[in-house]
Amino acid sequence: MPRYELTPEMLAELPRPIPYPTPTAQPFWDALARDELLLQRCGACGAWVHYPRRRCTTCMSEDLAWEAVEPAGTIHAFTVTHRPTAVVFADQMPQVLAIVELPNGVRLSTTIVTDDPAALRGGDAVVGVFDHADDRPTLLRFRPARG
Amino acid sequence: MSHAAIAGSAQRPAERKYTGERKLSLEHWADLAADALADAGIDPRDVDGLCCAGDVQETDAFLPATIAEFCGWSVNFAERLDLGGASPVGMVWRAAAAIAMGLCEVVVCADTMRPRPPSPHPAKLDARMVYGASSSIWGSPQAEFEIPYGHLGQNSGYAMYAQRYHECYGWDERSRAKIAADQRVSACANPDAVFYGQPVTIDDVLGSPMISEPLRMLEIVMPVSGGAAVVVTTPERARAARHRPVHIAGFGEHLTHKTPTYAPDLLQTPVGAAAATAFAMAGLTPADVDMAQIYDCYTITVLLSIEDSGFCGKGEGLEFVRTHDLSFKGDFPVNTHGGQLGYGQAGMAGGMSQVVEAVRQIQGRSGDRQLAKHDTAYVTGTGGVMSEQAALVLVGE
Repeated sequence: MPRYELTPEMLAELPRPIPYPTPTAQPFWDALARDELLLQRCGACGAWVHYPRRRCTTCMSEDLAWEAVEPAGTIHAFTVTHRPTAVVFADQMPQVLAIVELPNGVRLSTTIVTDDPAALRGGDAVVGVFDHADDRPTLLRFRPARG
Repeated sequence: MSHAAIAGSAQRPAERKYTGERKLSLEHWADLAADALADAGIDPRDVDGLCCAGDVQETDAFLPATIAEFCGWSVNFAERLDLGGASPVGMVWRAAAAIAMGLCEVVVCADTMRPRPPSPHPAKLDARMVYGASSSIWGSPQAEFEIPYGHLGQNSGYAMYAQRYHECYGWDERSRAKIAADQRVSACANPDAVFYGQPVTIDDVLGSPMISEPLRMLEIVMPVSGGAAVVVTTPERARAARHRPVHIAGFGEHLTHKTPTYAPDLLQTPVGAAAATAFAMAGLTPADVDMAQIYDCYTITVLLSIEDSGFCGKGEGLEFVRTHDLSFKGDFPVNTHGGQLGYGQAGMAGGMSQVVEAVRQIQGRSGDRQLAKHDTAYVTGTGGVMSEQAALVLVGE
């Protein structure tokens, strides 16, 4: 990929790095706006499915239904970035990127909200933070459960 | 002993700043093809297959037909690989399979990453330049569920693999850093490597700038210009070629996810299944190989691949690295050209460098870094974030 100096004008032309919900996932995003986590579960085989789809990723059944889930889990893996993952995140340093695992086994891509990233460990309990903003859908971040 | 063999290769020196003549990607690609065919001693008129990847900048589509036309070839087999860094290994086994099925006899596989002359139509900003390997196109799972949180590119994904690995198996970062230091020993015996003449110690690696915890700068590949190609052909044609035939004795491939979040198990990487298939096909085991040329976009990639390919048990990778010398002088030679960490990563050609090094070692053409025992090589390719992996077992005639 050629390397370019990105000017503010060029960046302004980019799609913003926010969710633009698909029809299939709209209920997921609508729920986050209400401080609720809705995930899909397969009526045929019982498997959980995330991100939202029209078919089960275990048995390919179309019999998926939304269920409310407690937004709490553990840090499965994480990293603290010292260089932004893309120039559009340069104002969010350091990024504390994480994969959070829920008790039902579903894993979510998210960030950890903390003033003390050095204290984080894999396996730490975390709880959901519904990050509302006027100009984008609600994002589900997590924070350490302690304190 | 096999259905197909590698008969020729070509590889460009790695350069931070390209010093040669600027040409179209198609022209660089054709140069690599011509050189690899000349290395084999095979007449270009005999080419009847090609494998390419998305690194030719003149077109986004219909690339195999464009290359066939550009090179003047009539081919029975034409593939464009889309497996990221696993593409070169994927090219080689697909070529071997096509030859084994009787579709074709001479397949050129090439990757180029050299600059073009300035275009009269300067490229407009493309979202891919910012979002990299993660698709920002509406409807892509990455655009909707990953990029908004900042999960994109490669560094942070591999860093999460490393964090998870150490959390489960211990925080021995010196052994992880040793992978980069050992490979640099081999790079210092390879004049074509970008870090030739620049040895590093474990402390240098651990002292380099943190990029995405726990991965540091010297654990991450350096982008360079370059290019690499091989010619895959029938065993009969390979025997008539100029150098020792390198038989493609076994191969495998496995994919499970694009984004690490959805990997079935972060610490059981796809190369495990690919290696098992490849070794079984070859009738060999990991203990039988003289060298391992393991795709090394990051140190952690090598660690996970050594383990999951079966060179040691799960969770024993750090101890394995600690107790073996991985350099070309060592008891377990890994990435004897320096690896991409030491040689440089010329885009997709980075993965082909591992194939070319295995071929040259088996043929006894590796100069100062030539291994004394060089009959059997294990080669891997890795794309995405441990997303798509492929393996080869190569055996000299």
